[in-house]
Amino acid sequence: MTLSDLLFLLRLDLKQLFRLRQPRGKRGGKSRRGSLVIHFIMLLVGVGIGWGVYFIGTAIGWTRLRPLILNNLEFGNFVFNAILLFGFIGSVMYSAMIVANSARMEYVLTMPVATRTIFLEKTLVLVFAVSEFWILLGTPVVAAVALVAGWGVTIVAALLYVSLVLVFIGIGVGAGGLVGLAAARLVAGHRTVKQAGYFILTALAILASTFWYYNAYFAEDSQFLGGLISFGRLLGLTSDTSPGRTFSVLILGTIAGGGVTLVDVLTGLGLAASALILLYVNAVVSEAAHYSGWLTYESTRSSDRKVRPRHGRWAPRTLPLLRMSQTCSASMWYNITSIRRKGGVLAQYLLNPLRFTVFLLFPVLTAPEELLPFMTILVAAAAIPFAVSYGVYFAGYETVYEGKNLMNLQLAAANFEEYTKGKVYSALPFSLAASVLFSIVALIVNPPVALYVPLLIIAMPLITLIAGPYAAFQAAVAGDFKAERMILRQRGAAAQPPITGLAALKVQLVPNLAGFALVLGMLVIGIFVSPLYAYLVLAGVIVVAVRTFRSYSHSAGVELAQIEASKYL
Amino acid sequence: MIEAIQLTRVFGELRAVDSLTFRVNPGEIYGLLGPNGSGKSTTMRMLLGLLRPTEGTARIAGHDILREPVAAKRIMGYVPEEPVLPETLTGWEFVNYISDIWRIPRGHERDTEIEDLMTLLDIYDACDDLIETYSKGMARKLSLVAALVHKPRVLILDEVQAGIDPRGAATIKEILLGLRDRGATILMSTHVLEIAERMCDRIGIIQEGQLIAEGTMDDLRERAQRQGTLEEIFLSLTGGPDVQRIAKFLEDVNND
Repeated sequence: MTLSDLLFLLRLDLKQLFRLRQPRGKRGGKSRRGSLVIHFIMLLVGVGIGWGVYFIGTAIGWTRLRPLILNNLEFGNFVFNAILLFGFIGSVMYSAMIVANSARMEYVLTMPVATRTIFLEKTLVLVFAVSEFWILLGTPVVAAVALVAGWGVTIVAALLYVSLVLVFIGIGVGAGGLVGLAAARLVAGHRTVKQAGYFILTALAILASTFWYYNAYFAEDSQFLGGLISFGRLLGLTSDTSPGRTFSVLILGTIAGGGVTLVDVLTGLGLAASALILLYVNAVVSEAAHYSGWLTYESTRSSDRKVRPRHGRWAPRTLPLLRMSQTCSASMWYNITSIRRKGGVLAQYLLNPLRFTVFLLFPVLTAPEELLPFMTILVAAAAIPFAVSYGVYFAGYETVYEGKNLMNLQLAAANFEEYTKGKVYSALPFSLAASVLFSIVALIVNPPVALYVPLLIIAMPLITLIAGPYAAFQAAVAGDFKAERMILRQRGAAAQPPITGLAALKVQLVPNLAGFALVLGMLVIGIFVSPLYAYLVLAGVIVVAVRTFRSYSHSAGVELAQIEASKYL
Repeated sequence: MIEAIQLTRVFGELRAVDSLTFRVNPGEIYGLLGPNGSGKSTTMRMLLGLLRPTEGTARIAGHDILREPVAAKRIMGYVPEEPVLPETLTGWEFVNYISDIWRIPRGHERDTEIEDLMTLLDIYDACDDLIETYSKGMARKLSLVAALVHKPRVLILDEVQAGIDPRGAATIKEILLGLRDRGATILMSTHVLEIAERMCDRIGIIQEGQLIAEGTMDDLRERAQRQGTLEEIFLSLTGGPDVQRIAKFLEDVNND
């Protein structure tokens, strides 16, 4: 491994990553300006905050600000430890993904450069990619505080800040990468374990982010910040013996011109050395993982089973009480199978609506007793986005993701109306399960609501029957059939929404509005007029849902057949 | 010269490549043939240093791929079966990027050579377009330009002519024959047996990771104890189609 090779590759890669000019060619490609604009906005925000800090700093005056900083050198512990933590969490799986996707950089790997150098360079690119957020936002702020002290210290403080961010992210990426590689090694070759892991991790991430959103929006400022700091303290982020303390002391001490001890400097150098060692070890382990081939084993090798498999009669399951055509049952079976075999996708589809419904569910848990009858309405309201989303995801998104099969004529002979119906039906079991779960919650919150439980359990799948074909129709009209279902993607890869333009808004808005109007309407009638009337209206809702289901399944089918027969022929 | 010495690669319980030994001499095109999943690509990946053999080793012009990988790679050019190229670069940028990694001095001479190669393969018109806009055939041609730009003494080509238009395929054939005549060592895999028959000086047939036959066309005919085309020899050695099953299928089609 040579340093010159490393720097050379790094320069080429960074130039590619931060492309400034659009290519001149005639063939149309995606615009590359979006990411540049984001960088520019981040920098502007950083400069804006920096300007505010400078304004306040000069108002306070350096003579008063300096002792304030000197007495609170550990002030930044929390933030700087958080940088380390984010660097770690953000890169847990990336080294493993770089190795697993090494086929994508086969060209570079066959070049006359040591493999270890290539992996080290890729890890460094990741360090820069993760650091850019903190550098673009933080450097202007640090520089602004330093500017209050004077020009001389500003450049030193800014350079020190950038270096320390790189060191901290380096430690996070190095350590996170090693953890990710170890985890990947454990599950390599065990597809089911891996998918279960993806499901659990994705579900946990959704739950964690849901609580985060809720706190961010509903907790009072002081409570939120206090809670955050308490949580940070629990994680050790405010500890006086943590790496973040050294970061804080070195930066603030440099700006204030005091308070930095030799131990702090040596600790800082130690951290820098740790970052380099961790990154190097990460490259060595990545190289070993690449050569061993265990990360690519599952995806690229032929089966080693020598036994000729025997199959029973092919009979995809149908839904009870429903007569399905062959196309319909095959479409339903395929949809459920392709989703459930991707743990991350399944978790996303099943739990994603929680992000919106959390705002409806939390008040239920803390509501006073006299408001409990109304809380039933909130529980029902919280169930509606689930019923809608399952329809949108299973029928709308999946129609788009399967678009490749439209293009290569695999589905040319299919009756697309039946095909769409199958996709909608595939969402019904999940919608029914969610409605049962929400009914249980409603019963726990307010037992007299038992009267409306059958209504809720029947109504939710009806909402899915409305949302699914509508989404499939919008997908057929405005779907980006080149979009890929990528829940886990490599950093820098573009995320393509499956349904584009106004249709993306319509598929969420229209079924949700319909769902809220129908379900809440029935409940309100039941509570304020008579439960009997609520059930009478339910009969009408069943008719509306079935008619909508048939009508939009037909429209979606016609649209898909037209696409298949025109654009892709 | 390429030497595979007892090359073995084991994945779990599967011996993907099993004690494979062969040699490709300078000034020779060697065709590596075999059914799908027989171990051709795994063999090539080991020769290129992309995959470590479980046992055995390989030497490229005398450099052991395990002990001196950089020296070995320095004299090789490679076109993968499915080239994954950086989509955010233009064709011109990509070849220059590769040239930079090879440390080919920048300047007029390099530009002219790249331009000539791209023109020869009919992709110069698209050289300023992003690679993401290229068709599969164009991407393969571009990867060949990248493999040839440093004038390698050893070329490893995995299905190089697949998906290429007839004019492009003919151009590639002429380029490879010309390089062979100038002393290059070329190892290529292909499923198009006519190409192998017309271009390769020697052929190795592998099945289930083992070399089951090797030699010139005459050697193979002798081994198979029959005259005929390479396709006929290949099928007699690796097992031909299941005629009975085909007949039954066609009968079912007729009945329908």
